[in-house]
Amino acid sequence: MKKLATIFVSAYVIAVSAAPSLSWAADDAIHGDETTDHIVDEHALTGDHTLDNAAQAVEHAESKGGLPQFDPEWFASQVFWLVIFFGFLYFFFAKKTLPDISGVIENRKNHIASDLETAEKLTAQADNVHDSYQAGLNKAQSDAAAAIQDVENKAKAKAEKTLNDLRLKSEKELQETEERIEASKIAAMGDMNQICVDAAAQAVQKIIGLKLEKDKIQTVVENINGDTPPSKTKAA
Amino acid sequence: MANPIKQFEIYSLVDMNIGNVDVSYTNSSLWMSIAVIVSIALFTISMRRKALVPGRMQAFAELTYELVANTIRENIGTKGRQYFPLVFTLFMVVLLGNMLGMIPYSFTFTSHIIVTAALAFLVFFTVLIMGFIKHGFHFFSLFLPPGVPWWLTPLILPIEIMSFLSRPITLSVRLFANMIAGHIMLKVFAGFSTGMMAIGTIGLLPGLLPMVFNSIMIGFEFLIAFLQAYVFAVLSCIYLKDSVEIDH
Repeated sequence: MKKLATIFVSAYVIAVSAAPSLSWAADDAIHGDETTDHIVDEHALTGDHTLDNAAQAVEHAESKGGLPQFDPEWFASQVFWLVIFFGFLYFFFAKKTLPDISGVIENRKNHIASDLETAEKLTAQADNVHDSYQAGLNKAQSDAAAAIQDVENKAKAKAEKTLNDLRLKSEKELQETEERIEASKIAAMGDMNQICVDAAAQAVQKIIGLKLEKDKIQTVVENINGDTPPSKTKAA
Repeated sequence: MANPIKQFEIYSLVDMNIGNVDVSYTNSSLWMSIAVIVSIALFTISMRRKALVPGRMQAFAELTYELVANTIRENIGTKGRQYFPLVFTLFMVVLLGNMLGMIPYSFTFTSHIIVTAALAFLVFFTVLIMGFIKHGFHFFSLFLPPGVPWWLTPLILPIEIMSFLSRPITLSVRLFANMIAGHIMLKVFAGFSTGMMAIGTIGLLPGLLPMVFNSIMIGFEFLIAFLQAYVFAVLSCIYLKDSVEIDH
């Protein structure tokens, strides 16, 4: 490609520097024969400069009427210098300026892209952290709830057990007490009969001086006790 | 009144010859070298820091870069990258030629048909040579647009060839004519002003009118200077496209 460019440039230089001399010659052909000589052999005829200058002056006078742009006198010079300056500027821009600018723009683009990437990564990281934090929070909450439930259940169970025990114990005590009362009632009743028998025997002995069989009295007392109140027993 | 054409005259500063061709360093060459120095200085100074966040100068350089890059992308496509330095240089040379021409007493080398023609032919030959290298003789199918009925070929073919050949002429004449017309107009109006004022006190006030008009024209000329450079770059891109892809 570089070789190609070199060939291209040199071909171009030859072409454009040939073109003005051609048009120059054509122009002179129009102007007349005397000037043609001066163009072709300008440097060969070094001795005849006065004639040359005169011819040039005539040519100038003729071309003064038109625009300087159409005066081919300076065509070659302008193209020559344009090619030099344009070529120089082209290589300077191609080698230095444009790579510099595109490098800076590329660099900036990369920088922005990487910054964006980092930002995205950080956002993702923050999201992860937030998620895990949320998960931890949820877990802790459910753990705490479970623990509270557990403690509550335990406490309830314990309270119930204690209550139950207490009830059972008190019921048992109550029963025992009742039994004891019953037993002591029976015992007291038994004693009462004996007292009655003894009292009846002594009363009989005192009143009628008769010693009755204890068994007999016993049966009587028991009979009375069975269906009559104690006051009737006394009356009997 | 000063001759409005005098501003386009070329005179030699340093006489030089190659063979029997006169290649003197002229005022035209001087302003070309100024254009080169200014553009190189501009881009070197503005890109010396290569900052991530561009300053004012760097932003300008990048803006110019993006302008040309977008023009190429839109008109040629991604394959146009190889022409980027060429179009960029064309744009900068024409732009600076036009802009430096706005400085009073300077010389506008883009107002010379030979200069614009040389630039236009550079584009023309680039299209021709690169087209041949890329497509060989298939490049000639450029002259026959797709979808044309076969019996129209004898009519279309010469027209297409003529339009292809006239490209460098229109490209160069457009820039040349715009530049020369603008500069002559500015000079002529300035001449009116000085002429009227030269009459005496009566001409003093009417003489201001062309001056006012001229100051508006100068602003307009700056727009033309930029616009023509841009148009030159865009048209170069459109022509260069033919060397990259032929869609039939």
